[in-house]
Amino acid sequence: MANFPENIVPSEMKNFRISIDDFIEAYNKGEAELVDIRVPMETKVWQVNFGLKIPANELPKRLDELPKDKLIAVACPHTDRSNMARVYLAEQGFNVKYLVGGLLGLMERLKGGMAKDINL
Amino acid sequence: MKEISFDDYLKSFDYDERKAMKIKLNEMLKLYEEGKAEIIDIRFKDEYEAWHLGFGKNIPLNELPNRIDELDKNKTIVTVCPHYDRAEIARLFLKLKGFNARYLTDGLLGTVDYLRGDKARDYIAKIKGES
Repeated sequence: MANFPENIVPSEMKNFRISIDDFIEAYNKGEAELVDIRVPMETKVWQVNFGLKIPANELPKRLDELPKDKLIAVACPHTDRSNMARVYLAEQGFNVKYLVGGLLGLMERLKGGMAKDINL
Repeated sequence: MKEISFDDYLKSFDYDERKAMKIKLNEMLKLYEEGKAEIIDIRFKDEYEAWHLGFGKNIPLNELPNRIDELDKNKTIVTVCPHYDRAEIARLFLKLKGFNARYLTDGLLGTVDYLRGDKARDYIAKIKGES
């Protein structure tokens, strides 16, 4: 198994994550895709109407559903599980970051008139 | 110590593991006091030098693979950083290596915010066996 923590240096920490505003900008340009890695029961309770829904435990089997030419922004309610998924997908060679603020932050950002900030 | 592949770990990731991967401040302090946990501050050296807890030890995240022998296999390894971003990476690494590792959801900032005044006095007294 790869010793993935070895390459982590202070200057690289910020490359692990993407802010909600930067994500929205990249998404609107077609340069990023959202991947909601919550479990099915959570996704049933409430859904984001864009991006992909792939539960974390199904990622190993569903890698071919992920775009290779876009930045993948993995997200869960906060950032616990998305960070884990990020490490996994980075090891698999994807261009991937986790969404700072999580899905809850994203929903907060896209409320009211600001919902149209994202081009669906 | 049984290593597990990342693929297998993710495939087995369920509601129970989602809970087990985390530890809250009070449980960590209790386990540490009872000698059942090691607290590993995985921040970089400069951060650790700037400020750190009076207990636990520092192994920077990127040194962890080479210093894994320093960890006690029979204890719960609690990984900590200011919030929990890096602590989770460390937790994941150690988990895949076969350790019983959990990350502190409250982070170092939550810990120092909690351990103020008499709480600091009482906890330090307890772990130094002076209570």
